[in-house]
Amino acid sequence: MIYDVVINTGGESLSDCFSSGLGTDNYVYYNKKAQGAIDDIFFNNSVVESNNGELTLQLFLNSQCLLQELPITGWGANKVAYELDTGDFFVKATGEQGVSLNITALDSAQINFSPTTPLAYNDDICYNIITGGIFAGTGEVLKQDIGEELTSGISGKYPNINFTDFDFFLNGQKLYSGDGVGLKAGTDYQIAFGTSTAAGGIVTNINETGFKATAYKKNNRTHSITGVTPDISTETGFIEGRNNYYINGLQESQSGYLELYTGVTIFKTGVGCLPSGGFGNSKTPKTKNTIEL
Amino acid sequence: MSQSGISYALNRNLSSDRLLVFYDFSGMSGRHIGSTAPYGGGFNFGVIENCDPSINTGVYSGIVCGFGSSVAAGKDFTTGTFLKGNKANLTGSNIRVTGTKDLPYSNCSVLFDLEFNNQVSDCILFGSLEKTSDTVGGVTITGSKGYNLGITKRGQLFYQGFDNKGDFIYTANSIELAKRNVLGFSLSTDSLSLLRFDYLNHKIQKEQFFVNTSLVVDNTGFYLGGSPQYFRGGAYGSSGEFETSDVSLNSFCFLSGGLSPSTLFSIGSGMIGDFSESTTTEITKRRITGYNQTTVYKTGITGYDYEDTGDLTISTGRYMMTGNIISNGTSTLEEGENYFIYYTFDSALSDSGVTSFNKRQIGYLHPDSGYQYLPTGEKAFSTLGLQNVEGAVDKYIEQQGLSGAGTIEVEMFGSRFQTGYLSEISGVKQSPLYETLIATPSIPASGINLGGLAENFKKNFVYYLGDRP
Repeated sequence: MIYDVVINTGGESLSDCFSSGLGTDNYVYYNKKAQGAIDDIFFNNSVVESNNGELTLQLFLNSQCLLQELPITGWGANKVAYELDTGDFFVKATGEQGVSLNITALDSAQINFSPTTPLAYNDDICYNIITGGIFAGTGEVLKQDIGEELTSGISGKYPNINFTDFDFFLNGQKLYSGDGVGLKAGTDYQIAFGTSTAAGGIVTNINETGFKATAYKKNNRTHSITGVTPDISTETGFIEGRNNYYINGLQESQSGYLELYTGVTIFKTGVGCLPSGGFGNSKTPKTKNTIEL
Repeated sequence: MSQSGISYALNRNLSSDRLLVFYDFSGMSGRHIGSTAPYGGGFNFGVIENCDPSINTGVYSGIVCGFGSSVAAGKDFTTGTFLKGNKANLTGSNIRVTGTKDLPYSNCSVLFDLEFNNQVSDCILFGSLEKTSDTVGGVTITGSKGYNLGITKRGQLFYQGFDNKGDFIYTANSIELAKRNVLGFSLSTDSLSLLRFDYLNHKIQKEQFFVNTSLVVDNTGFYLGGSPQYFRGGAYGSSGEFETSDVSLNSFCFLSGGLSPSTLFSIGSGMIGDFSESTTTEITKRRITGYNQTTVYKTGITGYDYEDTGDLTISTGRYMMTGNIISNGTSTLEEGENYFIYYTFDSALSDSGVTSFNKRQIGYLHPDSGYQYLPTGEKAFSTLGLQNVEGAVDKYIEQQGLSGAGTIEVEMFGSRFQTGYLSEISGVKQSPLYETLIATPSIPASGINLGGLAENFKKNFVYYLGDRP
């Protein structure tokens, strides 16, 4: 399995870790839980500028990353229609257009899913707030290669940027640099999960229409640590609560991992949380991950 | 310096008499820290003095009880081993605080700024639990004084106490520690809060438990780094207490009364931050003080001005043929050959700019022929009697063209109205008059600057809780 953690290292000093100037005052942006169920699911839009959540959500439905889209808006008598093209969900704007559309505060905080997005009452929906933009490639627009289409979208906004500045997803599953994914020919900024021979990825001209590639610019002072072992140690250190953990490209819930300081020496499954030789066995072990004192 | 920082935080959040004990170990390395001989036998021990801004610095001094000397050599130990890097290394010694009978153990708040010397290890931070045993009527009755606050091997805060139901331990399972932490607890009115302050995320991590504070009995002393009573076995310290801690203290404070987590968060920031002063920027605003009124008159046409708008050229006649002749030498003719004789117009006409000429074709007659012509034959030409003689006549080149007709230019004028104020009043214009006021004056401002290094406050290990391959 591939384990990947996008860690946030923050700044050098304490104040640097929550500085607006350095873009590190974003501790409220990570691992947020969406509230509600089925058709009434909401996010906390108070943490985004002007409460406008358009193109600011990196949303995970049961660990799969979904694509947010600016909807096509149609106006009718006493009715406004929204239409999605390739996206999985949208949120309504709060700007001038929103005012004219009579968008309420509650409306602007609601996550509106495409009818084709499968939802169940017990879904785990969480999200990160992102500010660098959302990019997608389907290979359908301009009949481009899926990777080229995604690349052109990114380079349109960021002409000079590195591959490693983004988190890439293919059908909602995070991708890692390697064979079929990375820099085309090792030099050119070309996302190489396209259909070209040089890409060598799993996407081919035949199956291309079944894929949707997305990219999210990483937040400031974050970087990925990828490996084949589930526990990840780093000398740089990281700020608790601002990390995203992926297993085989699927985001793991925060409850699935611990963010610690080195040296927690005893960590056993199924051992009760009881002092040594102390208080009998009257206490039931709390969870499977409780430990021995 | 945390001493100034905590002083600021206290003044902002609490009355100054709430801080009962404060140890700040920064800047103490290499200093003489006093000595005492509390245990008799002439031994001297280093003393950490309760320092400002605590309410009474004359009491609650901490004794570095891990090393005693017959000479006043406590300093050697404290400055070389115990006090190192502006921290108190509790590995070498506990700190014992005595004479604390008046400290409100059941209604207090305690804060630590500490860091692990190595990896996470279990320890006691604040140890005052002491079991008591009395025999009444042949029945042994167990009681206790004080309580312990410590860290488990799992790296989580715990509170160990003893009440009418026996021993108990509460562990804050949701709080994970970093290498350096600001930790604390607040105990008051049957409520215990175990706290960690995450200054990187501006977040308070808290777990709350029920503790029957009516059963919490004050003790005469407490330890930092050890305890008279500990659930885990271990080496005894010099005073008979357990030595447990592989941590270093940056500072410690004991406050009276249970305080809210947010208040303790603020005080904790004073422990790790520096007091800073600056001057705020003056903010000004304009205020309308009145209006300047100006009478406005109607505007309209006050007259006309005529100006040259250009010329008009008018033709006065028709075009005429014009021409001239230029002498071109002579030509020799025989009598009877035709040639042209040219006549020009008179000079009066030429002065008008139009010149021309006319010509008449005639037959040449030689002036020396005598003008007597007798027929020489019967043919038509011979009957004229022309002589076979030659003579020269003038030749001319003709030039012809059109002469332009006469024109005159007429200057054109157009009218333009001129505007200005009329005598009729259209209204009154009001212009506000302002004065600039200082809305917010520049004032000395103060606060706490968290400019210290964040490295030790960060975590460095991600542990996956799920199944492993």
